[in-house]
Amino acid sequence: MDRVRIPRKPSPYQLSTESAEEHDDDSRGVTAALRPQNRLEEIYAADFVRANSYSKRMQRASSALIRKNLPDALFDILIRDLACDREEAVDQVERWCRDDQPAKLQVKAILAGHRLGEHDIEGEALRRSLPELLVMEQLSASTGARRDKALAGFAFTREITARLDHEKAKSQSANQSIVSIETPKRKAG
Amino acid sequence: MASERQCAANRANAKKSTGPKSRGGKMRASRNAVCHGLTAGPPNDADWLARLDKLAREIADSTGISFAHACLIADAELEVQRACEAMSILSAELYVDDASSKVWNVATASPPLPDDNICCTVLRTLKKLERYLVRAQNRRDRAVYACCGATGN
Repeated sequence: MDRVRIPRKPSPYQLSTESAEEHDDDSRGVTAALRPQNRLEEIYAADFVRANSYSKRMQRASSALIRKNLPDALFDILIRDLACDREEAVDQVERWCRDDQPAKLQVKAILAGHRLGEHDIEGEALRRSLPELLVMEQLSASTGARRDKALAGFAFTREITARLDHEKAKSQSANQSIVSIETPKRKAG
Repeated sequence: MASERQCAANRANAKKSTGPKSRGGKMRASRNAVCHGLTAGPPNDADWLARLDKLAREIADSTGISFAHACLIADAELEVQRACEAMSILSAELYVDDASSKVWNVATASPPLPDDNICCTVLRTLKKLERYLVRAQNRRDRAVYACCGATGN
């Protein structure tokens, strides 16, 4: 019998570009790998998943930021480096943004005429977004540290739980009378 | 170092400054020191207390640590969750302009001032939130280590 899939209501903290299934898969994968045995371990596992998805979101935000700066970068290159006419440059960039294929080819040809390529547009966009990218990089590094710390916390909790279980078992066995197993005596000779 | 005369002049000038006068100005100035508002603490309502009680019971039942210790951990964990939610909502703001990336306007072509940029503002607040989150997590971890250490020894 096929499983009935209940449509999941998107979380208010979920972006339209993020999939709930991906988040669920990540969460399930981490739970399957770590197998949390108590609520504290679950908390640390959830921390790990959260840091992971936040880190992915930061990576996507960096590329979105560079993408957002592409038109301005192209405009800058056309005006500043290639000394194009301002009105012509505005027209080119507007058409280029709308994914107009002839305009894209035209821009490519103009850039190639000056020994430039589309990588130069990306480079310029990257340069323009450097201050924001720097902060995003710092946030990503901090998130990575949080993720590692979640694992360290998980390991600590597991160790303590194991030690407690061991002590409990030891005290239980100490309370019970131990039946000694008699070893058969060997006959001499 | 300022001379005696300069200090007196500074004091005299400071007396002339009486702060914002309009209602809006007073309201704005009252929020000058607010970074993200999380340090104001959680709402101490029935819902929050119920969540705290539930989490503390779950921790105490599954680990065997005392309920009082579990309450400390649960309180810190809820604070972590609150900061995470705030970060999640705020980080979504980074994508606000993403949908309009296909439309380009020459008026916005000139490089915006760093302080006017919404992305910069969001990132600056995110950094503060991150610092708050790390502190909240440290508080929770200290509570966990203290409780587990007390139970383990």
